[in-house]
This record gives sequence, structure tokens and C-alpha cells, in this order.
Amino acid sequence: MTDTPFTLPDLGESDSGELVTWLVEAGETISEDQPIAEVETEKSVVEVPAPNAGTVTELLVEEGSTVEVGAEILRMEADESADAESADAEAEPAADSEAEPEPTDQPAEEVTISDERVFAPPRVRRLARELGVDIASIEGSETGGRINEDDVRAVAESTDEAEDGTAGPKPFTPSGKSAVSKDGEAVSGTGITDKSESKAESGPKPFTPSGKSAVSKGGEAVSGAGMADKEAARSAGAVTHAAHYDTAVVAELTDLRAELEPHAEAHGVELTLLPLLIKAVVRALAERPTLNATVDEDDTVTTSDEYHIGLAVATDDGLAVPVVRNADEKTILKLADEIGDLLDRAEAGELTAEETGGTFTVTTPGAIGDEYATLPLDAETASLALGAVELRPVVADGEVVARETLPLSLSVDPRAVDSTEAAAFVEQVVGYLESPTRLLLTLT
Amino acid sequence: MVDGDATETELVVIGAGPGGYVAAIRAAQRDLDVTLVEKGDFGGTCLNTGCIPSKAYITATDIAHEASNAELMGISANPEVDLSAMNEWKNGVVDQLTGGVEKLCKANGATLVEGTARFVDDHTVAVDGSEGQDSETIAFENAIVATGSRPIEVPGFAYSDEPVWSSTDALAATEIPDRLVVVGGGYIGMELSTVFAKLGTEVMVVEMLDDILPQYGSDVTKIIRSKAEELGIEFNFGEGASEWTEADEGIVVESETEDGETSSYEADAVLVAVGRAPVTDTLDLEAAGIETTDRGTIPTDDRMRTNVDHIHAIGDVAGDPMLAHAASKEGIVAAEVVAGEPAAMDVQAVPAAVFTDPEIATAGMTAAEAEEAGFDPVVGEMPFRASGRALTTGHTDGFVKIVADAESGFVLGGKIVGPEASELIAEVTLAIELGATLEDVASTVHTHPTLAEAVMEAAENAEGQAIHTLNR
Repeated sequence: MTDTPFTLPDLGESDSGELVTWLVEAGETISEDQPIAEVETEKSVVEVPAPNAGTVTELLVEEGSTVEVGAEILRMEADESADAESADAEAEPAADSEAEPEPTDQPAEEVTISDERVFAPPRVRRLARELGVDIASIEGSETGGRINEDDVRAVAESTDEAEDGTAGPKPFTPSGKSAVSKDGEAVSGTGITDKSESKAESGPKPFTPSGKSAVSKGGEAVSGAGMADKEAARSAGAVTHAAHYDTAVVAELTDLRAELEPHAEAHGVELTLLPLLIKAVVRALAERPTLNATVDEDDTVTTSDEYHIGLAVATDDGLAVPVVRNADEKTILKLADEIGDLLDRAEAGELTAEETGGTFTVTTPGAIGDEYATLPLDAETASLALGAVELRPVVADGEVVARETLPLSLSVDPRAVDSTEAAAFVEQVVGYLESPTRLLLTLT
Repeated sequence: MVDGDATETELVVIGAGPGGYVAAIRAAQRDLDVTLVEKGDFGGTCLNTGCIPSKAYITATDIAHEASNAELMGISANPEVDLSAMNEWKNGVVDQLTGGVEKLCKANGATLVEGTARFVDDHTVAVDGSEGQDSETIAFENAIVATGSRPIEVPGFAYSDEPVWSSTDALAATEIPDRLVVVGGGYIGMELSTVFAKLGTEVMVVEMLDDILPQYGSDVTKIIRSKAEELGIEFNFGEGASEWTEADEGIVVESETEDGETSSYEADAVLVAVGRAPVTDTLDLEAAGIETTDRGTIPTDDRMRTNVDHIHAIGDVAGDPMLAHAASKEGIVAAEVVAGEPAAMDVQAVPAAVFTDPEIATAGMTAAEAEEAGFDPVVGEMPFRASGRALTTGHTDGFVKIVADAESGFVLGGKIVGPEASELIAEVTLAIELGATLEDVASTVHTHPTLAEAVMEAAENAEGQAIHTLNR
């Protein structure tokens, strides 16, 4: 058993972050991929997974301190039997990559260099090797299929556990053809290849422009071919769970609710903010389909064109998640009515099985207590936690003033949703919450 | 082998040429304990008997040649060349560089050992010092073989004979021969032919193939050949040198065609430059279980590993391309791999330069290679006669050609013939490595008036919008 240091892995968007919370302590036995620390960057909180199983010997960084990517944060004794096991599981064709158990912190699986021309700068090609990704299998997001750092990270994060990662379609093939079908139905590629394809970007995008996972529309499952081995990405320190947060100034929204309240009352319905929040979320989901989706063990992402919104609420018996089905098709009045009923019955423990199983989950305002909260994701690709609406200091016109604000934090599975997309979604929800009259434009 | 205390090292590098010394420095930078073994002078062939001395001679003879051929510019001169003094100056340059390399290796913390290394087993080398000194045993965890290459001998032409020159001998000559037969029209033969032709030597090239530098294509070779003929170099294609004999005055070199026709050339010396062979005979590779190819080179994977994982091979001994800068890059890759980094030999282009008059430089794919690789190549060209700067240097032969993919615009290759081609190719190589497009190159402001503008113009021409040439 050797005592090896573990360094802060790449956080995706920042070179450093604040180590907010240690999730393990010295002497603790940990398993591979177990979250060991929460690190906060400018716009997100990420959980750092353990590189392998073993025993923590020493924490090298105090909570609250800022840590650079690559800095040593803890020391651990790797569990040798676990090492051997995972090496076996990876079924290395040649034994050459395990020359010696060197104390490097980047034990990514070795990628063979293709003879084919690759259009990516040297540092991006090196990053791909570092993350165990075969760059020749990546479809770059830049013009002509040029590959950038984000493309490599996206593939590394969404790598496929079941598939070997060698069968993926080639990226920029000189003939310019790769596996993309007309209206983005069944796609077994990692991005847009054909130029004509990128013109049709007005509708909901079947896949992200950064060449993320293969995603199909309308509930049709598509395998994420072309991904390198997921274990490789994990062992390389890829972050497996990410959060994005923001705050909306909701004065207009609370005014609107106050204005509508007596009208709702006339229908015998108590109007809270929640139905309005859900409308905003559903609207934003319609524009970002990968967040209204599930991802399975094979990293296959299946989007849904139905919007069943789970509401995570704290009850005396623990967390309950009643679901508002087809939230997009219901009026605010109807939503308010249903939510009132669902929450009452959740509280009373009277939910039926049919009333669970959403496509996206929202925690009700303040339900978890904290301003920011992240939820376990389950099979869903994303969930949104809404904080309590309170007067908080806001800078407006250069002065600090008190405004009613609503903190929100989005938790995503990076295999399906990249950070750019997640941030864009949050921004969109904030936009609707700050100017709720915009929702009228898409009223059905 | 010697019993007793073996020195232990994490990495032993065998050979301190442009592959080995670079590998040693990079490994030392990565905090590896490095031992660098060199039997001769630091810097290897490149610094001592290759790139550097030949370039020194090329520059010096160019000055003499230019001065005596500048009547058009209003300059008349008849420079006198003292080859012995030129040789001394060249040696000074070499000494400065090799001394600098040795200091750099030391300053970076590499342990230097003088002698010839041979493998005892796959974790031990013995280093034999000069003149019966005891050999030193070094136990290593990793090794990098960087022993380079040496000139190939042609049967009947032993370098040990005075009038038979290898390139090394040619670069050490202290008297200008009146007549010189050069066997081999490759880049070494052509560079040295040019040097001696400019010194006034009557140069006769004997080449087995039917062109010089055939790998560069006829668009290149016709320019080089015509300039060489202007300098008085005589070409004899389709002939192989068979033997040489002493004559009343100097020597006679015999050659033979495939059909058995013979010719003889009277000369004062014969320079044999038919290629270079890897140096492995001193290594006892078998003791370490290292395999070689039929050519004697050591095959490696993209991490520069030999069939024995912890032993790497780089540079000429690892086969083509036998170029100093390729060796250096391979050395960096090997050192970083040993240090556990995700390095690999993944370069998209290894540029090559020939310092003939005019110079030749290439990088990446030719149009034909691009087509074969499945691209739809477009070629842009800028002849130097349309370059203002080229006109002011008095050298307008040649062109810049840039090859790109028509659909994506990605730069795939470049071929430059002309003044400073060896410098100009760097921009094209960078474009290839970065995945830059024609538009990127064409949109970059280039200093005026420079030869480098021709690269921009060639890119614009490929896009059909060059300013200084007609776009057809």
C-alpha cells in the first residue's frame, strides 16, 4: 500500500475553487467515485469524486481555503485489491500501460494516436490524452469540425461505460459526411457534422452544439457512440455532478401574484408563487430539451416531450415528490388547484404511485431549508432547487437596495448537460421570473 | 560486466545529440534523476558534423558568392577564401554550441558520464570509457536510446581512404579541391555540392536515380537543378559509383549505369553522401531484448517506447524522419512519458528543410497526399518574383505553395522554394498544428516588406483573392 497524494481535478470552467466542505475525514475508508469534497467556483458547486477506493490518510486543505486545480488536497492509501479489480475489469488488450504503479494522479487509460489528420491545437490533443479520450473520435464544435477544449471535456464527461469508445463515428471526415439524420431523429454521433444541419437550429436542438452526448427527440433512445471509456474519464478526475446557481429579482413576479390572487380566489383557488414558477421552468425546459430527460447507465440520454414536474417537498415522513403531469398544457389556475391538492396529500402521506415519476424535479421554495440546495438526481438529467423569496440586498443603479429575490440552484448530470447549457437554462428561468409577462408570449 | 556497486538512476539517456540532450534536460526539469551518457562531443552529429557546421559553411560561401556576383547592384569584388580560416571560425561556432549544451545539461541536474554504453540486461548498462578504463555499471529504471546515425559507406569507397570523404570529412576540409565528385543527389550531397561549387570547385554529381531530391517533386527540383547548373554543377543521373582509383593527378571515379555503361570522372576527392544508417552496433540491444527492423532502426510506438516498455528510442536510431528537430521532439515526448505525463508523438507535421540555393522547405501534405487522404485539396501559390522583398534581395526564384481542404479551409501542407524557405515554413507548420484555416492565415497581418507576406498571399490565392497575383 502506498500513500499517494490526490490533486484537485479539472473543474471544467475555473482554474481554482474554494473547498467549501470536506465530505470525508482522515482515516475514513472510501470507495471509488465517492464524493470527497465540495468545491465552489465562481458559478457552480461541484462534488469532487474519489479517484479510487482506499483510505484517507490526511486532509491537506482546510475548509474555506482556495485551491488551484492540480494542487494536492489529500493523501490516501489506495486499496490495492480494488486497483487490481478495476484493472482487470478494463481488460487491457496489452499489458503495457500498467508498467508500474507510478504515483501519478492522472492514470487515464492510454489512447493510441491516430495517423489521421486531427484538427485541434496541441494543448487540446494533450488534454484528450490526459482525460483518456480518443480525439479522433470527437466531432469538434467549431467550423469544419475543429476540436476545442470544451469538446474534449464534454466527451470525457459523457463517456460511455458499456461501449468501448472505439466504435464512434469519425469526426471531420474529408467527405464531410457523418452520422446525422435529417430532423435530428436517430443519431449515433457526437455532434453536428454537416453544414446544412447547423442551419436548422431554430427548433429545439436535438443535440448540443458542443458535440455532447447523442440525444434523440420524442423519447427515442439513441446510444452515445463515439464516447471514450467512462471509467477512464472518471479516473482522470472528471467531475460527475455539477451545480449552477443564480438569483432572480422577483418583484414583478410577486406583484403579479398579488394582482392575480383575488381573481383566483373568485374561482376558489389559493394562488401561490409556485404555479408561476413552474410555468417559467416548463417554458425554459422546452427550449433546453436535454434538461427534461433521463440518462441511463449506458449514458444514453432520452429526452421527453412531456413535462411532468416533480415537486420535492419535505414532509413528516421525509421527502416526497408528487408530480404535476403535463404541466405545459395546464393553465396557471389549474396548476394552482392541483398543486394545492398534491401538497396536501403529500403532507398526509396519501400520494398514489401514479402521482410520482416526473421528467424534471423542482424543490418547493424553502422546502429544504437552505437558500441553495442540490438534489440527488436519480435518472433525471437535472433538477432545480428554489430558495425562499425574501428581501435581500441587491445592487441597483450603483446602490445597494433591498429587493425580493429568489435564489435558485440547478443540479445537472454532466453526462447529459454541459455547463454552458446548464448556465443558459438557469439564465432563462431567471429571465422569466424577473419579467414574467414574457410568459404570455407562449401562452397556449 | 563489472561487479560491485552499480550506480542507480531513474533514467539513463544514451547519446547527447539533439534527441538525447533535449530528453535529458526535459527529464531533469521533471525532477527525474537522469544520467546522460555520451562517448564523444555533446550535441551529436547535428552540432558537430551536421546541421551546424554545414550551415556555417553555407552562409560563409554565400557571402563570397554574393559578393562576386553583385555587379547588377553596383558591387564588384573578387573575394579570396581561406578555407582553413573558415574552418576555424566554424569550429569556434561548434565549440560554443556544444559547450553550451553540456553546461545546460549540468545546470539542469543531469549526471554526465563519458563513454560508450551497452546493455547488460533490460535494467543495466555498462559504460566503457576510453583506453582501457574500467567500465561503469549503471542500473536504470528507464532508458532512452538516442545513439543517432552515421554516414553509409558505399562498397569500394572506404571513408578511411584519404580522397574518399564522408560529409564529416567534407566539413573538415582545409583546402578547396579543384574537382569533386559527389556520390548522391540527396539533401546532404546537394547542400555540400553547392558549398563547394560556390568556392570554385568543379562539382560532378553522380546519382543513381534520374533526379535530385526526388521526394520534393519536379516543381521544386527543376528550380534547384537549374540554379545548380548555373553554379557549374554537373549532373550524371542513372549512374552508380562503382570504384575509384589513384591517378597521376588526383583520382578517377568510375560509375556504371543499370545497362552496364561505364563513365569515369577525374577528380581530387569524392564525397559519398548516400544516406545514413542507425548506430546500434555498440549497444548490444539483444541483451535488453530490444528488437530492430531490417534496416537496423529501433521501432517505437507513439510514446517512443521500444518493444521493451521502459526503454525508449528517439531520433535517427528510431528511423525516419532522420531530422534533428524530430529527434528533439521525440526526446521531449519520451522524457515526459517517463515522467508519467500524457505526452505522445502526435504532431501533425514535421517540417523539413534543405539548405540548397534556393532553399527548400516543406510541411504537412502535398496536394496528392491530401487527395489520397480523402480531402478535396485546393492549392494557393505565390511566386517570389511577385514579392517586393524577394526582388530587393536579388533572389526571385521559387514560390510558396499552400495546400488546404477546399470545404473546411484547413491548412494541410506547404511547400516553399526560395530565399529563407527554411524560416518561412514555420508559419505554415504552426497553421497545420493549430488547425488554422486559409482565412486565418490570410487575415493575419504580415510585416511589409518581408518574404513572409508570400505565405499570406499564397493563402489568399487559394481563396481566390490574392492581391499581388492573378487568381486563376
